[in-house]
Amino acid sequence: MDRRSFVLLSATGAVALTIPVACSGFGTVRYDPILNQPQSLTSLLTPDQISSIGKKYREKVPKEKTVNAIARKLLDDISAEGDALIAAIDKKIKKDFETGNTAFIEGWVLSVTEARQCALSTLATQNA
Amino acid sequence: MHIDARKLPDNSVIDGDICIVGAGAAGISIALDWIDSPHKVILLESGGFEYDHEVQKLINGSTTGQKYFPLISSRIAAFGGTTGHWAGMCSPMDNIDFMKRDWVPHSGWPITRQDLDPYYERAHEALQLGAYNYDLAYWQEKTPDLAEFALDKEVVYTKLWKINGARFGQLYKESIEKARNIHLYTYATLTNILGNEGLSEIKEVTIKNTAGKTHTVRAKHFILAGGSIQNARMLLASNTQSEKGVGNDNDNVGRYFMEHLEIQSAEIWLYKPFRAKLYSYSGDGGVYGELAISEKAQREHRILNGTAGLVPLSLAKGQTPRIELWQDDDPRKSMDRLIKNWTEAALEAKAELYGEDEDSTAPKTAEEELMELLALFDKLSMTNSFETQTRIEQSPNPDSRVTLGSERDALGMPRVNLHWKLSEIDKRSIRTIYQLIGEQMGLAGLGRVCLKEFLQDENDNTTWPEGTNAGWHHMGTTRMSDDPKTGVVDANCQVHGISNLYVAGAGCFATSAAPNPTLTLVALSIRLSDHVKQKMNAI
Repeated sequence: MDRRSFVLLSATGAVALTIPVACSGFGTVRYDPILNQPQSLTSLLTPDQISSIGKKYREKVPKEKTVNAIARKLLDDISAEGDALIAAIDKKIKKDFETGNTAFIEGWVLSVTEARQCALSTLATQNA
Repeated sequence: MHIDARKLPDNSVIDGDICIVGAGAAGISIALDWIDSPHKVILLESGGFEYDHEVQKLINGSTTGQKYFPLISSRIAAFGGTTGHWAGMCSPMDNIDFMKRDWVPHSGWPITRQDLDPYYERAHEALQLGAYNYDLAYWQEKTPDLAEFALDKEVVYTKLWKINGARFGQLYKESIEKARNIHLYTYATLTNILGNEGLSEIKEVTIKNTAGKTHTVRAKHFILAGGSIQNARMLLASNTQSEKGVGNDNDNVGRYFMEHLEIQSAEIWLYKPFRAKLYSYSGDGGVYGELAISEKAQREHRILNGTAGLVPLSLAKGQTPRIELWQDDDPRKSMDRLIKNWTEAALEAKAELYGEDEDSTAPKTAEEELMELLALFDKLSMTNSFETQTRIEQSPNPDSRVTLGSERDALGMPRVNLHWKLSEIDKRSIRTIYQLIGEQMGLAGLGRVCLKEFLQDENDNTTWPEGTNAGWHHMGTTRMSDDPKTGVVDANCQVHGISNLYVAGAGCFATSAAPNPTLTLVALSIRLSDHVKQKMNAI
């Protein structure tokens, strides 16, 4: 499949679109919605736990309270989709643990990347 | 030979070369070391060969501060001491445990791990632990399914324990009774220590018993081996010559009481089920592993030394904190309650996972039940979720202490009060240990770690949950130091300033490390025994 469902983000909200992967406009970040799912946690935590972690992360890091801000952080050096995106995020998570870039939220010891994914997930749900 | 001190004529005088006060792991280990020597050894035991609740009542006392077990049932006052019901978990302390650590107040021993190594080996013999080898690869060669978590050993490694619940009372009764030069006196409770003028040398001790008899023991050397709380009590209560008690010129006796914090702290969730045989308590003869923090990581994070034991979550959720179960005055009843809880929790977990057994209610012997329980632990250990139990040293705290109260026991001895006090570094260290394990589990791609609620607020290092357990490990009341101002005994366990008085046991520990104390206290006792031999031979 050469086209995927993407999310166009803006300061006012998110709209689900079906567009190519390459585009990226000023002030908005388009990303594969697969990014909303913290793959490293979905088999260990319930959706409610993921949501709760996401909310707590946003409280703890108020600078990252918008989808745009979080998505930018997650995708800072990644331009991939689908499995490649998952692999790139996995790599980022591993690097987080390697460098101590971790978040301690509701008792869970998480990589900051996966905590951001939880936060993104809650915002995407809110905005859906 | 054995003499029941209740049957001696009142006011008897007993003479010997060495007097060992207390026939538990420490006292018996020393006595065994003197069998067939030309010296007459007097071994005093407060109780008899069997449990006697009237004697047990002599060790009762009160507790304040952090919730603790009733003192009356936290030790056994009988020949063999508390080895009468221990779990037999043994592991040597680490190098770092003996070092001065600038982030751990009052840390540092005047001896090193290397000084103790030869004695650890000898302690292994007394405790019948087999080879003195704590190298995981050695044991994996013998038992290939002892798989360890593939974590970065520079941060988290697996520390090993060897298990053998050696019951000294049963194991060594015959050897002690048959030894011509060992004179074991049961029902002989020390009530006073008397020295020369100036208290630079001990001349005699007074012993009493519940039959109303009082006797005197004279010897060249006296070794207190009655357990950390009772040793401190004996020194403090022997105040006829010095108001502060014996060996207490610097007000250190009874201070720095330490326990091991044994507390349910986190959950480990794995992506795939893991056969945790290595991390499952397997009973006598087995080895057992816990996740431990490397010396390097301890230094970097300025934390105490502690380990994480793994219990399958299915089993852990049915287990009640031991501090709640162990509140009976009779240690046997508390032990029964503990085993019952563990068994029920295991059966519940088994029923939930595998369904009910048809013959689960069939009568079984105690041994069969234990074997079944261990087999069940083993079966449940194949899982993807574990609860961790921390086993951590307590930072030495001078305000955590044993003092004398106003109440007296049946022999007229003042009872003690134990004020158990924890420090902020204790809790911060537990939290950090699991954050490190969590990071390593994440890095290895094995799973994630979730800390219990009481550890979640990083600004709270003072409150503890109701279920905060200790290990029944009394340590540090007569701590070792080269400086009399900061310790009660010197590097050889001799009481500072008193040439022939020594303390054997975990009371001499300057810091408590993570492992259960028995192996180290036996090693230290054998080392003391050698020292006394050298002194006697030098005369």
